[in-house]
Order: sequence, then structure tokens, then C-alpha cells
Amino acid sequence: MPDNKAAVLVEIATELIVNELKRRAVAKGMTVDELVAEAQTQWQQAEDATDELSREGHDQG
Amino acid sequence: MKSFLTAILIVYSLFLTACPKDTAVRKAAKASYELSGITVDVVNATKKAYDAGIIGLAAKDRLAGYEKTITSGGKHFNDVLSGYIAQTAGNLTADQVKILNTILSDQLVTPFLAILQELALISLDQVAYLRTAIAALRTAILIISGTIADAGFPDASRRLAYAG
Repeated sequence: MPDNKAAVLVEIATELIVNELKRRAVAKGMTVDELVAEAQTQWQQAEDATDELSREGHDQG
Repeated sequence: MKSFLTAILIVYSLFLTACPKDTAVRKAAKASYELSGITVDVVNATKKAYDAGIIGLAAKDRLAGYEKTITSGGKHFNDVLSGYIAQTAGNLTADQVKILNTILSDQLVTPFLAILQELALISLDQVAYLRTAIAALRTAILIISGTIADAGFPDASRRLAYAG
């Protein structure tokens, strides 16, 4: 359904912006060391999520 | 949809007010923190779009490839930054900023721009009002990519300026 697809896209765009605003608010209270440490954790999460995304649709069985 | 686009414009104006007091090392650390979070969100968004049938397997695989490049570049950027902080107690030299700028421009901005281009190609196959929603998504990613521009790295900022 195209209506549903449009709704999903708007939901995705909204989530991206809301999450970014939250991150910006949190970052204000963090030290440089904390920012770098948290970034390391998030980059690892991104790598794991990307690996999972790459496998999706190609799973055996 | 109009109110949504208005909200985007308001948020965009907020994003343009970067803190001028931040040092180069803090700007770089904030950029790494925010971009890593954005990347997680963009990967999740790609999965959601694929699961909803908005993009097909081939497009999903291409986007996953770009996102993998961003992730590798981001980890590299963070590792290099971390090493510089340990070496210099938080004061980056001009050469170090130049190296970070190159990593940011080549390994993060390039795949981000490729994702924007990919979204533009997807929109060609959709009905007219779906294009509006996709345009909103592209705008969101572009606004969020403003994190890179705010970080004070000129090469990356210049390249993103042409992406609108």
C-alpha cells in the first residue's frame, strides 16, 4: 500500500530527527573522553547492525 | 505533510547554531558521537524500509554497502582521534586536523552522499506523493549530515553544501 509506505517514510524521517535532537542534548553534558568512548560503542553497534542488514534476504533455508 | 516540513525547517535552523566555544577536539569528538548514532539510525531505517517493501533487495544491499563503508570510516576516525587525544592531551595540531578532515571527507561524506543519490534514484520509481515522503527523508539525512559541517572541517562541509 503506497499510503502505508509514505507513513513509514515519514515515521523514519521523524525518528532520525528526534533521535538526533536527543543525542545533541546528551552530548552537551559529556566530556571529550566520554564522547569518544560512547562513539566507539555506537560505531560497534552500527557495524553489527550493518552486518545483520547485509545478511537479510540472503539467509539460507 | 506541510506541518512536517515546517518542523524540519525549525529543527534545521536549530542545527545551524553550533557552539562556537567548542575546541577542535571537542567538535571532532561530538561529530564522531553524533555520526555513530546517526549511522545506527540510518541502518535501522534501511531495514525498516526494506521490511515495508519501500526498497527491494538490490537497493537494500547497495545501501548496506555504503553503510558498511561509513561504519569502517567512522571507527577509523574515532580510533585516530582517540590516539591524538592520548598523545596531545586534547590539543590537536594543524596536521592532525588535516588528517581527520581527510578521513571525514573520504570515508564518511562520500558514502553519505551516495546514500542520498540512491534515495533520489528510488524516488523515480514511486508515485508522486511518495516522492514527497522520500524528499522528507533525504532532507532529514541531509540536515543530520550537517553535524559534519558543524564540526569545522572545511573539505567535508564544502562537499555537503553541494548535496542539497
